[in-house]
Amino acid sequence: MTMNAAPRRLESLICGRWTPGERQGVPLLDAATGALVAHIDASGIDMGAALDWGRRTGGPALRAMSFHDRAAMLKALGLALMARKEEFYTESYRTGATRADGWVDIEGGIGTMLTYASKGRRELPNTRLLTDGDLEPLSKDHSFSAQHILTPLQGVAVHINAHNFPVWGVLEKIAPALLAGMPCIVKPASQTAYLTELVVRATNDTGILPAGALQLICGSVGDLLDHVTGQDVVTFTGSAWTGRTLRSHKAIVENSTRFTMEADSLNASILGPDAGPGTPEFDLFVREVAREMTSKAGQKCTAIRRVMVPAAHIDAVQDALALRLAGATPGLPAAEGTRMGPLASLDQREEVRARIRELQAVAHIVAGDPDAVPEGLEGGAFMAPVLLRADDPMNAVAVHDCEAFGPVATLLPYDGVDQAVALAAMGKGSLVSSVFTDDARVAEEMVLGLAPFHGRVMIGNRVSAKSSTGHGSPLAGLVHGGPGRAGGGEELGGMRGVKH
Amino acid sequence: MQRTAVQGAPGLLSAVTGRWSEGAPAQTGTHPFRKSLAELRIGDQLVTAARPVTQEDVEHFAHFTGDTFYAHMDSDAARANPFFDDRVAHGYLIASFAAGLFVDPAPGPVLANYGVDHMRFLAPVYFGDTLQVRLTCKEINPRANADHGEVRWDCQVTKQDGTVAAQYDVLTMVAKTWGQAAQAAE
Repeated sequence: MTMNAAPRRLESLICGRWTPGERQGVPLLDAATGALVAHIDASGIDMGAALDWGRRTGGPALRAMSFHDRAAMLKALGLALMARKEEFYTESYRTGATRADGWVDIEGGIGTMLTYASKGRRELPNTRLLTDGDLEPLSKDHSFSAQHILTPLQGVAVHINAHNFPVWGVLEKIAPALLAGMPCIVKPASQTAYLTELVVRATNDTGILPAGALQLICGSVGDLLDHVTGQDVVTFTGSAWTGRTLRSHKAIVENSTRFTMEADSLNASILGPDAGPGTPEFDLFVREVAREMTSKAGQKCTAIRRVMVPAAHIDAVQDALALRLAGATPGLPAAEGTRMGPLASLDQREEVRARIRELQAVAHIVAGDPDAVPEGLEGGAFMAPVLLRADDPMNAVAVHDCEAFGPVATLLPYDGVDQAVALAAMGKGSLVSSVFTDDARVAEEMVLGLAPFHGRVMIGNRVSAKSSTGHGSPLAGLVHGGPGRAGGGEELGGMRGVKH
Repeated sequence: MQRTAVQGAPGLLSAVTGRWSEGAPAQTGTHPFRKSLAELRIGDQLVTAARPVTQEDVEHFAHFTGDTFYAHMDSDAARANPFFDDRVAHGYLIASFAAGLFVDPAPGPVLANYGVDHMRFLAPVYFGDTLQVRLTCKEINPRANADHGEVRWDCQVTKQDGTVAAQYDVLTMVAKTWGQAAQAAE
């Protein structure tokens, strides 16, 4: 299984060379077994030189290509990575991801790159600049007019990523940036960086990207942000607290460096007042909530954290969910039939347990035991799904404020569409919410109320039961991001992700 | 990417963007549908002959297509409509006549018409009005891995008094090369 390779010493790809840190660095452990996977360290790396290399080498090479050239480059790279996907799955198990979790990360990430390749070919011209909108005539005789154009910035796109999607997280950001003509420096979260490093090695092996188009930092970014300019772009995925710190970094503020952030999100799923027990929407809702809680062991920025149910149906939903979750005991990610793997690390589990204790101030656990450890799996970061319930949701501040990044969600009863919308808004801005209803009026009222607080709203009902891509899936063509607490940034969204 | 508003004379804007726009220089000569991407340039323009629109034309089109909407068929009803002074030609008839005016029928580098963008009918066309088309090569987008590319044409249909009756972009696929050699190879 995962007892294959000897521990690796991760390296950074800087200025075209694989570069180890000066120290041996921090040990990274297999999420399921606790076995040592790798050491990570980036000390001694000259971050200013890395930025400079990207700007001087990667940028000009990419800008010399047309949009179609760069789209063809992404297609070639996507296909080359897809051919090596099994290597990535093997490594992915060590992050705690099951095969199904890995599919979202690996094939979902490569698929996003391929989607950008084909959209770039179809929707962008074979040129090096884009026109934006129509000509604005500024004179009656058509002798003076104006046209908006878009050109690639001449800096580097710095992507600071989260631990939960070591493959998708890289590819969904570099694909639009490379298509736009910007070189990238990727800094994955340490915990699962060994998988990202493998993908970047595979990318580098292909020789498809021009020199300087992609660099990788395995370890701390050090003083990298001190060197950013107004032509660079910094994106961050992770906690709201870290994001705020980065956003107010001196160089970013002084140079008005573009900063895009995707942070904590207390996504809601709402059962419509019309969707009582016995309706297809009720069943779809229960299935979706359970799936979102257990997929990636709940470690998705889009996972459902707040489960809003008409007060009259809350006991029925609780019973149905508890039954489903009971079948999702965690197990070894690579084992056949495992529906849920461990959290990414023991530290992560401690963190989630602490957040659950915070939630318990205003809610009580109705299913699952956060401290239970499956027998024989004591070395891993396993945790059973935990369902809480807060019966006074308007005053349950912690539920709307505290993100337990694991298989954890809280049931909230509501009374009327207006209150459901008000509760959702108490999350202060989210990536996505879903509404399960077959009532057109409910759909209209809910979406009108939810939309200002969300980057995406999914409506589920019997018609789309088979075809729906689900609550949690960000799609290349749709906005990924949300206002307020969710970070205020926008990723993906088709060609908008290229243009901004 | 950086969004920048660029202001200037349309001819210079076209040089920057690679897209012809109203007011930029245009050149006439060989029918632009006889040119492959190797010869075609932004601003290549065709100004067609004029053709009148008659009551018979409109009635023929109405019965042939089944579109017998009252504004084309019934004078009193058309006059009661806030936009029309009398019976008018179908918008699609205008577009069809326009195509009839601007195409060059023999086999050539223009391979297919794959759509129109931004079609607007801007002024009513009454029986007895005369239509003329100005077709200008607006944008050329060669495909990297094919023997053809997309060409966008600015299509302006005017009436005898210069009023613009219809304005839209015609979208075509055009061969990268066309000539004796290309024909012989087929």
